[in-house]
Order: sequence, then structure tokens, then C-alpha cells
Amino acid sequence: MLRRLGFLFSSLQAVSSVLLLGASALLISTAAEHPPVMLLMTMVVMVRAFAIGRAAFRYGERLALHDHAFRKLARLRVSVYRKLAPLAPVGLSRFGRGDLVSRMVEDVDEMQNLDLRVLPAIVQSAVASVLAIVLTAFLLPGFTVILSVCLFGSAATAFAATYLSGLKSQRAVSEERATLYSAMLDAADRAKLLVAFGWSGAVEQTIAEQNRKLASIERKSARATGIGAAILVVCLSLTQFFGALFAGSAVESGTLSRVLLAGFVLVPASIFEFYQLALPAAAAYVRYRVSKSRIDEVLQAEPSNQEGGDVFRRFQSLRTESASVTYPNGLRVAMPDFELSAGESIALVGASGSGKSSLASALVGFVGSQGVALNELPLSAYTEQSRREIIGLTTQNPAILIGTVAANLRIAKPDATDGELTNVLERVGLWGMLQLREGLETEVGQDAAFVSGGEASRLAFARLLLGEREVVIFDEPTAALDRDLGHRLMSEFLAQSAGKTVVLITHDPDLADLCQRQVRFSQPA
Amino acid sequence: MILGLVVLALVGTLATIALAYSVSAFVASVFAHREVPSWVFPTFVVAGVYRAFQAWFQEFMATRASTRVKAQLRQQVIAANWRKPPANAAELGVLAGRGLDALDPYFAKYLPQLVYTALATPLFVALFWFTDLESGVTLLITIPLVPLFMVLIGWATSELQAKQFSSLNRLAGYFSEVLKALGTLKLFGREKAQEQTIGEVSDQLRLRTLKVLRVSFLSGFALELISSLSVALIAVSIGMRLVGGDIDLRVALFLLILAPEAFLPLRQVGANFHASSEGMAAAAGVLDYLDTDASMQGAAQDSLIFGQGLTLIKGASGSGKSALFEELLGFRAEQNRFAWLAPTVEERRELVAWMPQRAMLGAGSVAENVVGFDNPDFELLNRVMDVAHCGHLARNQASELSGGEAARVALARALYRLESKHLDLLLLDEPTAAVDLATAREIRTNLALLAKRLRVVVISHEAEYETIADEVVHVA
Repeated sequence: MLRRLGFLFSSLQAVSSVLLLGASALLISTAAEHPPVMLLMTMVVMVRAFAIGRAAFRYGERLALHDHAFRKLARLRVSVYRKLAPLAPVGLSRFGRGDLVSRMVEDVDEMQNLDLRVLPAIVQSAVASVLAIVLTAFLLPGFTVILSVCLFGSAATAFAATYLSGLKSQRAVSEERATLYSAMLDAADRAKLLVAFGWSGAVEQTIAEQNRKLASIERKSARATGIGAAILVVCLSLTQFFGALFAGSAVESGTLSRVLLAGFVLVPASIFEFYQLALPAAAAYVRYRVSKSRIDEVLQAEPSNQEGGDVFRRFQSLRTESASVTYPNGLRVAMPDFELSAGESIALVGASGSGKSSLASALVGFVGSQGVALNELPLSAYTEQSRREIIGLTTQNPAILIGTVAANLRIAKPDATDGELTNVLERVGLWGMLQLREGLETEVGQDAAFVSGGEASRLAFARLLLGEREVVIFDEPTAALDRDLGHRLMSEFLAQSAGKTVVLITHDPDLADLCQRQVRFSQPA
Repeated sequence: MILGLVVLALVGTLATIALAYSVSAFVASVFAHREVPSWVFPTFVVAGVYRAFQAWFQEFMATRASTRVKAQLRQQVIAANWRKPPANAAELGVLAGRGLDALDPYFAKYLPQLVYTALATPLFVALFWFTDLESGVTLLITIPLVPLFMVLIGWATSELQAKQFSSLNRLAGYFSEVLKALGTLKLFGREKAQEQTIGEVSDQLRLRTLKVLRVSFLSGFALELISSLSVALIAVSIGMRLVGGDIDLRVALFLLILAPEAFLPLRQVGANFHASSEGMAAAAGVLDYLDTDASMQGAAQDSLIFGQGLTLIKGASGSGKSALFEELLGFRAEQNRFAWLAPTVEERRELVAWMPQRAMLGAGSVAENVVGFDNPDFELLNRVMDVAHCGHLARNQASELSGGEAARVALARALYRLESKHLDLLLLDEPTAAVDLATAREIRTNLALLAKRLRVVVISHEAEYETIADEVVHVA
């Protein structure tokens, strides 16, 4: 609805534009015939109406189309999210290297340009052209065919030139840019290391080389864009030339009223103004296509996780037997055999990369596994959702969302009372400092204060406490905390959670000693 | 570049005037005598061909200037980056990368338009003045209204403009936040509920953004209205005098065609200025960074001499242990503690191999990271990888390593430099903090062995180093 309204305004703007120039030309020509002032005044009013109309319709078009594009974006975000959710967090890396999430965000943003930039420019060009052709058919039928050929021919040639050259060069430019960006980022990020190792000169040369390469590709791409613009100007001149020729001879032979003559020479300029605006739209369309294909790739992906129909209701036992975990990229991590029964606390220790975190990921359904059994049934017998309702996990990098402390905690328990929130914050030793700020309403995340690694992991700890899972897995919970605090938190937790099953992944032998039992994971072969 | 733009703008203005002149002469002549002046069509063709050339050449010239400036700035940033490593590398990287590419519109649109406007607008006013005094006066009065209103509207909406950017950014920002937190949300079974929240938040932000857009689009509306009403003012006055026979059709048409052209450049300068503001901001940020002072001289302190064997540096976190290494390497205020090694930082850097606290691995395989830009010596590579306990990782991609594995590769990298350049001072910042106990023990044994023939300095809070240290330095 909004979209149609937007394109309607768009079209009316094009109509006003063409008629404005036509009416102005008619006005001046008529004035030269010394007509009654009333007739002239009518035309003056018309000219003003078209001028105001053009500005007003543009205003309406911009608003309606932006509103529509934002709505569409909101829906697209939801559907991309819905597709990505089952793949997260491990499966998100299989669409290739680089930061899928930030690329996805940019690609989704790019989608609004179809309705904001590409289509309006094309609609306006088409409407203006058709209007001019229809008017010509009535006033100067002999010129109709030539005008149509001029208009559509020039549009087709210019856009084909821009689109075809744009497609290749646009891609090459964006690839080269991406290479340069990451090289620059790397050089800035590792500046000290590169200097200390005497490698700065070599890196500088590499970047200079990439700069040269990018510059030459950008120039090539600019030549192509320039050719499209030049073709349009040549076609405009041709159209004006033919307009003058046909209209001029029609006036000479008396088949066209002389007051209409100026219009045939002037109106093409207003049409080509739209064509010129549409040229960048062709380049924008190329970018749109590239982003769209990447989004479609995600939307078509099928989650590969194994999931059964059983609901996991109560934890009784965990058993691994020649077990292994398989990542989406094919990597397999094996793990030792062990058993865990309800109510036990167990520490998983051993070299990094030996599969401790992988087992945790498998239990909550982030990666596939073989040989891991819950209550004597393979993991894949249960729904992922039901496993996560029983088994809780703090990861090594807990996510803190931008928002209040309360909102971050309520992720774990949406209906938690303020009292419950204060209670868990007290247990992790955060409440004291939060009281000095805005309490539960303290803003956290990215740009806000309160983001040190230690504070973030304590907040995550509090969130896990609030989640009240039967089985709790801690993955290096104290890595970002100082030793004493980490120990205090863990031992308090173990003391207060009798009856719960606790799995603690750690490199710290003192922390591991807090558990009833330890299982050693060995160095990968 | 500027001279080229001036020439282009001047000839472009003349072409526009010539085209307007020939069109008006053609219409007037056919109108009055039903005959076409012979010079009209050639003028048409020449002016048209020139304008086509200009459209192409301007784009070409702009890109040439833009690519040159971008490459220069980037090269300067990288060169400065070695002297004064940025506090926020990610920000500088983005600014000098993607940020500078936003300069393209500045060169391609804003600058040519600015030059064109500066030249064409006075030319048009003069032309009007001499062709028809009354229109000239009208133009002289109405033209300043455009920049005046542009400034006024700019003032009135600048806060809104800023708000628009921030709310558009929040719209995208929120989405990216949620995607990054998906794992955590799933753990708490909140991924379904978030689906709805994304929609709701997007909708709230949409309403807020539209409120802002309503006002900022209004400014465009006002400007267009001002200029088209001004053109109408001129057109009506010409029309009325045409009826009275005070002016002939050729002059009237000529002025009518040129009037919008006289207003257009000013408006486009405004529009292009907005388009290039992002790139300008990035360029300003880059220049700021280039201008910051890099001189580093601190209060002089006593020399800190590292002797033969293994020196352990201890101290609470935050007491400046890593800062010692940074001073030695010249990344911090010089306090003359290490002049005994060599007087200048450049010479000192040549003498030491360093393992920073953060692994700082680059793209490529583990082996590529260890050798870096030095000459590859595979026998040595294998040896140091074994000493650092990462031999089994050689073919892995560095980006796939865990924290503990990356630390071992960083150690191997320092060892490779040490041995291949025959240095005798090894600086290690928390070499085994992220490594599991068994491996850490073996690495310590290897380091103690190494300390028998050269100087090894270790920053660590692990008590185990005290048993193998020949000397312990406490940092307060």
C-alpha cells in the first residue's frame, strides 16, 4: 500500500516535471502572440501548480518509500534471524571466513536500496518517457517513432553499458577494497609486533601494492560509469536535434501550431534529467544483487543439527563411549570415556583443544556428536530445546546485550522479580557497585560503562544462577576474574547448589579440586 | 585537478549558454519567419558532444584525484602507525579503510560542483544583468535566498540530522547485537521471543526515524520551492513584458531556459555537501591521527639491566610489567632504563626477540606466522615449534587456534627470530598463562635450558618460574 503510494507520488513527480517545462515553454511562446492577459494568467497558475506539485510529490514519495523500506527491512531482519537462529553459534562460520554477522547486517541494510533508489529512478524515467511519447502522438504523430527510439534506445544503451561494466568492475572493486581494508586493519592492530620484528617495511610495501591495484581498478570502473553518462548526453542532444528538426519543419508546413515548438526542444531535457538520476541506480542495483544473493544463500541453508522428537525432562546420567564431536567444517574432536550421574560435580581438565568445550557445545546442541548419551539415549534422541532447558552453560565469551542490567538478566528468566535479580547480583558481588550507579537500570554493553571482562563474566554468572538449570556447565568461568574472587564464587556456588549436577571446565588445578571428581582430556593426536 | 575543474566548469558554462542561445534563436526564428538559421544545428552538435565529453572526463578526473588522495592518506597512516601505534586500532583501521572510500563523492561530486557553482553563478547573473536588467536584478535578489535558506535550514535541522544518523545506526546496530548474542539467547531458550522483539524494536525505531526524516525532507522541499518560485517570478515578469512587446521572444526564451540553470548549481552544492560529509569526517579523523604528537620522553629512571640467565619480572597486575618491555621497544615514554642495551629504540629493536602478551597472529598458516617476512629455514622452524610445543599445529590456519595454542605459536615466533638472527635477548610476556599445566611445565623446562646460553626475561605471575629464575625483579 505504502509502496504503491510511494510509486504513485514518484510518477506524479515525473509528470509534474515534464509538464512544468512544457507549460513554461508554452507560456512564453503564447505570450509572444500577445494574447488576452486572462489566458496568460491561467498558464502562469499552471506553471506554479506544476512547480509546487513537483516539490510536494517528491516530499511525499520520499516519506512513503522510506516508511515502506523500513517496514520491509524489519520483516527481512526477522526472517534472516529465524534462519540463522538454528545455525548459531557454531554453524554461522560455515558460510566462509570473515565476520558473517556484520556482513549479514550490511547486506540486509543494502536491501532497502531497491525501493529507495533503484525502482523510483526507473519508474520516473519510464513515466516521463511515456508521457512525452503520448503527448507527441497527439501533437506531432510523425515524430512519435523517432522519439520512442531515441528515448528507449538511449536508456537501453546507457544502462546496459553501466550495468554490464558495473557488474564486473563493481565486484572487483569491492573485493580489492575488502583485501585492503583487512590489510590495513591488521597493520594497525599488530603495529607493535610488526615494528618489533622488523616487518613494518614489508607490510607497508604490500599495502602500497594493494593501494595501486585498487586505484587502477577504481579508475577502470570510473571510465565505465563515465561512458554511460556520456552516452546519455549524446542521446539527449540527438533527441533535441530531431525534436527541433521535426517540429521546425512541421511549423514551416503549418501542421503544428508555432506555440508548441519550444516544448519539443525543451521537454527532452527534463526526461533526461531522470535518466541521469537512474544511472547510479544501475550501479546500486548491482550492489543490491550481490547482497541479495548472499542473503538468499543464508535463507536457503538447511540446519544440519541432529535432533530427535523426545523431550528431555530430567537429568539422570551422562555417558561418553568412544565419543566425538563433529563441526560443520568437518573437524572431528574425540574425547575420553566417562560417566556422570545426577547430583555430582565434576571437573574437566586437560590441554586446550582436547574437546572439553566441544562436549559442552554438543550437550546444548550447538554441534553434532556421536557416542554421547543422556539417560542412556543418544543426544540426538531429544529436541535441542528441551536439552537446553535442563542443561545450562556459560561460554568463555558471554554475550552482554546493549541495555539495562535487568534486561540482560531477564534473558534467563523473563518473569524474575526485582528481588530475585538483586539477590543473584549480590551473590556474584556486583550489587554493591551497581547501587552506586543506577541499580538494576544501569546501562551495560558496547558503548556504556561497566564492560570490563571481569564484570561481564560476573553478570553472565548471575544470569546462569537465575536460569536455575538442573545441570550447569561452566566453561572457564574465572578466566577473566582475579583468582580469589573466582574461587570464592565457585566454592559458594557449589556449596549452595546441593543436588545440582555441575560440570566445570578449567585449567586451574585449585578450582578443579573444588569438584568431587576430575576427568582428564588428553592432548589431541 | 583544480585548474582542470576550472577549465571544465568555464567551458561547461559556455556550452550551456550556447545551447540555450541556439535553442532560443531556433524557436524564435521558426516562430517569426518559419525558417531555421543555418548555424543552429552545428552549434547543437558541438555543444552536445562537448557536454558528453565533460560528463565522461569529469568522472575520470575525479576518480584519479580521489584514488590518489586516498592512497596517499592510507600510506601516511600506515607509516605513522609504526611510530605511534594507535590506541584504538580497529577504529583507525575502519576510518582509513572504509571511511576514506566515502571520500569518493567529495571528489566526484562536491568539488566539481563547488568549482562550477563558484564560476557559473556569477557568470549567469552577469549574463542576465546585461541581457535584461529587470531579470538580472530579480536574479541578484533571489539567488542569495538559496544559500541563506540552506544555512538556516541546516542550523535548524543539524540536531535532527545527527539524530537521524544515530537512529539509523541503532536500527542496524540492534540487529547485529542480537545476531552476535544468538548463542547466549539460545542457551536460555529466548531465541523465539527475540524474533518478536526484533520486529518491535525495528518498528519503534522506524517511527522515530520517520519523525526525523519528515523534517529533514521538508528542508529539501523548501529549497526546491524557493528556487522554482524564483524562476516563476522571472518567467512571469518576462511573459508580461513579452505581451507588452517590450522584449522579443528570442531573449525571453533564452532567459527562461537559463533561469533554472542559474539556481541549480547552488542547490546541488548543498546536496553534494551532505553526500560527502561522511568521507570528510573520516578524512578529518585520519588527519587528526596524523597530527598527534608522537614524541615520547618520560622522567629518567635508573637502568634496569638484564643479566645472563633467566630474569623473572613479578608484580601485581597493573603495576607496569608489560610497560617495561614496551619502553625497551620504544612504544612508551623513554625513561632511559634500557640505554645500556643500545642508545636508540631502532637499535634496541634489532637486538631482541619479543613475545607480546596478546598473541597477535596474522592471516595465513601457523608456519607462515612464525617465519613472517624473514627467510624461511625449515629445519629451524621445526626446532622452535617443538620447543614451543606447537609442532602439531604447523599447517593449521592461525585464525582457528584457541587462546592457549596461539600463545605457543607466538612463543615459537619469538624463538625463530631469536635463533635466525642470532640474538641473545628474549623477552616473554606471560608465555604460559593460557597454556595447560603439563605443557606449561615442559615449556618452562625448555626456557630454563635456553637461559643457560642467553638472556631470557619472563613476565609472569606463576610461582613456578621462581624456581628456575636466576634473578627476580619486583615491579611495584
